[in-house]
Amino acid sequence: MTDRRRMIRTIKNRGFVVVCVAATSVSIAALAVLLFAVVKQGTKHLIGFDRAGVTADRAPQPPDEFTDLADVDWPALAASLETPALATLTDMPWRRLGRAQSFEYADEIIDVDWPAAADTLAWPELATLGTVDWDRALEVMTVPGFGRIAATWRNSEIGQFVTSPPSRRPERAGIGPSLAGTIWICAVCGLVALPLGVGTAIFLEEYRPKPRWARAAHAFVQLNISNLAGVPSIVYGIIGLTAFVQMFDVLGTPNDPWFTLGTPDAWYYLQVPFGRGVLAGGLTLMLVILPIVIVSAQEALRAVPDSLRQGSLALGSTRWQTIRRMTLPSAIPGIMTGSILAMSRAIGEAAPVLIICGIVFIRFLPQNVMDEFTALPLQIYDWAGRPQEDFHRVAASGILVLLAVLLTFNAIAIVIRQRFQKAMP
Amino acid sequence: MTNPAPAAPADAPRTQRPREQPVIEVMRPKTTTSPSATPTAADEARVAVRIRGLNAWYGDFQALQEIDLDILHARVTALIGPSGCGKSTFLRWLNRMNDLVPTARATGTVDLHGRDLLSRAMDVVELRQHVGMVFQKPNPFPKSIYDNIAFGPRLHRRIPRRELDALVERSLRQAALWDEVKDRLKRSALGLSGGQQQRLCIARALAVEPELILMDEPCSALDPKSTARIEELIRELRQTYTIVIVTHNMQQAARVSDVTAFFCEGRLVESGLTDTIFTQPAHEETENYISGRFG
Ligand SMILES: Nc1ncnc2c1ncn2[C@@H]1O[C@H](COP(=O)(O)OP(=O)(O)O)[C@@H](O)[C@H]1O
Ligand SMILES: [Mg+2]
Repeated sequence: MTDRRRMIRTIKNRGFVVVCVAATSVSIAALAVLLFAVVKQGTKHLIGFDRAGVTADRAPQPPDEFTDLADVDWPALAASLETPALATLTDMPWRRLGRAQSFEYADEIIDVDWPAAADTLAWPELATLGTVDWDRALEVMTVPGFGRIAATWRNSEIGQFVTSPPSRRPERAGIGPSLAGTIWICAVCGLVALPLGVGTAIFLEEYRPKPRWARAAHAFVQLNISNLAGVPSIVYGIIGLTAFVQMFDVLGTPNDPWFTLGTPDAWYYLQVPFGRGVLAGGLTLMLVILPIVIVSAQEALRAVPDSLRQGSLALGSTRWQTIRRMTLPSAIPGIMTGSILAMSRAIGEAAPVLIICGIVFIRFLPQNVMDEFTALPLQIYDWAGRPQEDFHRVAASGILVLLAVLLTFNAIAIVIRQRFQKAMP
Repeated sequence: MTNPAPAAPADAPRTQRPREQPVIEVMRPKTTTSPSATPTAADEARVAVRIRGLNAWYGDFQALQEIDLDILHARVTALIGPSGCGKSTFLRWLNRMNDLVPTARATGTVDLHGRDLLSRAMDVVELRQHVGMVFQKPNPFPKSIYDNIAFGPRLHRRIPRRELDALVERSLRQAALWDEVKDRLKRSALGLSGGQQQRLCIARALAVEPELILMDEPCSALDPKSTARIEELIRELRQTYTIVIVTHNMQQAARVSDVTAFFCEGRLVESGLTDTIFTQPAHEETENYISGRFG
């Protein structure tokens, strides 16, 4: 009987180890397969070095992108073609024109509908440009080169991919605007979430109210924040849509805003409601990570021994001085680690951003916080959903870049933690 | 500033039970429960803190009952008594550290220079600059030795570098730590030994130039050798500072203190000159505790 029992016990004990090892192996294998697939697909598009590009110096070259037209020396062109009307194009907002009539490449200037452009841009002189011999103009039109180093970067495959806009042709498709969009919304998100989250955590951890009703409110807020951390992120997308994009429709509509500052071309342009712009996207992401930032900052603050607070207070410091000079410096490594990990979650979030900006084809980098944008995960999603096999490869390359960004963030978090741990044994 | 101690117990102006005192004196001529009657020492000593009718609660639990005690200027007062009798609670009301405990409250008066420490109007931040505290477990800040000492002074004003250097050196010398750390002021205080850390904490408290220093079992986490150094230090500091020390160690109380107060179950059983308390305690409880029969 006892022997039997002992045997069962041994089997259970061994079996437990076997199951654990098996589970770990399966997950590692799955991860390896995933990485292998992505790397195999993605590197085809990324690796390969355009040596010819290195030689491209500052020598003038024909314009490529539609926006390159801004760099053309129009007065000189007007003189050489003896078409004075061309000189007026110096001040042309090429970006807006390209957006209005959806052009991608410089040679599409042939197809521009000038009378319509004159209308949309409220610039009557443009209507006359329909008579220009654009074929000839394109032959002699040049823009300045990038210079050696810029050209090296720009002409390498990775450089191309990271800087150029998406395209109908997979071999030209890049993640420029979506990477920029991701950087913009993450910057907005971090700039708002960090002070807000750390401030809330300080309030919740360091200011314990005395009255009973205040303590109840305190506990209620605490409970809700812990719960919010588990809410699916798409829910925040819907909140962001109503709260930031439309502002509950009480302050006009995004197209007919209640308040504006500057014109849509200005870098400081601001409007209320925010519309489907960078600001709304960033704030929505902020909602997603705010509970994570708060909870991790709270944990970091809680890990600071009470004896330090008491020691500081006993020397006659105010509560704020204690927080500022004792608690926060001791908690900073934990707060930073938590916040960086929260930011890396923000970078990868697709669902809430999708609700804010939708799947849009954007060829320009955002110029201000009201500009429409797209984000890296959405761009990848878009490519992965297309029928052409080539686009799947482009998507894999995008994933590699996304992974690289995430790994960088995690590495920074680790370095910060190590550095501070060494400083404070 | 402070009132001189009354020459005779019957004259004690703010004692709450003046009529009892003659009776006690008749019965026990050498000691008395009257806190201000510590005959010989009180002759020269001024009263630094006058505590009258102090009651303290944590929620509904009463931790201190009707405490009357005078803490004498430039003397060491030892608080002894079994665990949980309210010694720390008493100490933590003297610098209002109990404000940090949400359920804690107190009634009565704790008079320092004519101001009531327990009143709502008391600025606790300013109070704690005058009443320093050393904790049971050494709690050096995770900063350099220099920054530990400079932490307190820097809170209150901007200090020129040279003046601060001098202040750090003076505090460390007072705490008998200077010779051991003068070559590594910029290194982390956490690298010091336990005894050194506790002396650092004392130096840190001294750096804000308090009048009163509270020590809550400052040696209980230390080895005998470090304990001896701290005791020596306390005896030196007695010349300039008023010290209140909680201790579990009877020999320590006998060695370092001038006045001893015995607490039991939230009450002050008796207080008086340390010699008297240890040789001729007025109460049986005290005698039992001192001789190690309970507590
Ligand atoms: N923060 C607190 N909350 C509730 N009760 C407390 C608290 N601190 C101490 N007490 C209680 O008050 C009594 C006195 O405690 P304390 O002053 O720490 O005793 P001592 O220092 O003499 O050992 C004890 O019964 C203890 O349980
Ligand atoms: Mg205690």
